[in-house]
Amino acid sequence: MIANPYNEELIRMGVIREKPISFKKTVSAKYVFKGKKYLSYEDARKKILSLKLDSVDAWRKYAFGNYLGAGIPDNPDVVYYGRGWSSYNHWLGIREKSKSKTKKTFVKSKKIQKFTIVKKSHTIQKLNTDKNKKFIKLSEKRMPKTIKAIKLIGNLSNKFHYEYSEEQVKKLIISLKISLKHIKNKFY
Amino acid sequence: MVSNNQKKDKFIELAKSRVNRAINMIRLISNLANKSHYDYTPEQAKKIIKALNDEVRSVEAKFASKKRGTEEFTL
Repeated sequence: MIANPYNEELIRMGVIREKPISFKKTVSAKYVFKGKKYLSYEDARKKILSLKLDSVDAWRKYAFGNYLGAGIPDNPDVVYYGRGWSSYNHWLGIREKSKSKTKKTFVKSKKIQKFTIVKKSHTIQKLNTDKNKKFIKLSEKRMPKTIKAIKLIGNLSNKFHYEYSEEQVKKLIISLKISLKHIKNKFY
Repeated sequence: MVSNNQKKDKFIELAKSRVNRAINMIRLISNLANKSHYDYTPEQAKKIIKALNDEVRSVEAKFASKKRGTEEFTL
């Protein structure tokens, strides 16, 4: 600490202690990340929780403009990745609000995808031939029918027989593409 | 000669029934993805999805090209 006559006077008057409590002594650096010492996730989180930030935006503003204290990173998502990091909501102690439906379904579909990928790697070795025969039989029956059905939609583009707006066409094609997405999610 | 309104109505009616039918058929195929009843190699799944994708793309292309019925004949 820099010797400061003003501070010395204050110490004499008993306003501040001779040796102010420094964070650095209480820091027990748990690990080093890119040459800097950091607290463990739980210890750092406790200190952040005492700030009572109520949103991720508030955290960003605070972390950008203020010194957080020794051993606390301003980019915890990077520093604690794989070391206890789950989300900013957990970091700041915010109760997770129910997310919108679209987000949930997106996450779900991702999970399913991962799951099936793992499954597939098993089935490459053990392909159930009976079930595969069934699959081939049914898909050979159903595929020509669906392809015909989709081709019939294409006939509606004939302007000699039908009249339509671009919006109608957009709707039509979007609904087809959505069903394609569903089927992709199911197979992959 | 069929009036323009009739053409519009026909389009809406047919588009509804045909698209719904196509979506239903695609749904039936997606049932085949159920691994507890059927089994398939990734290549087979790819083939099916590629075929459907190509078909939908060709439909899109058909609607995008404005050739049919719109050419004007002049003397």
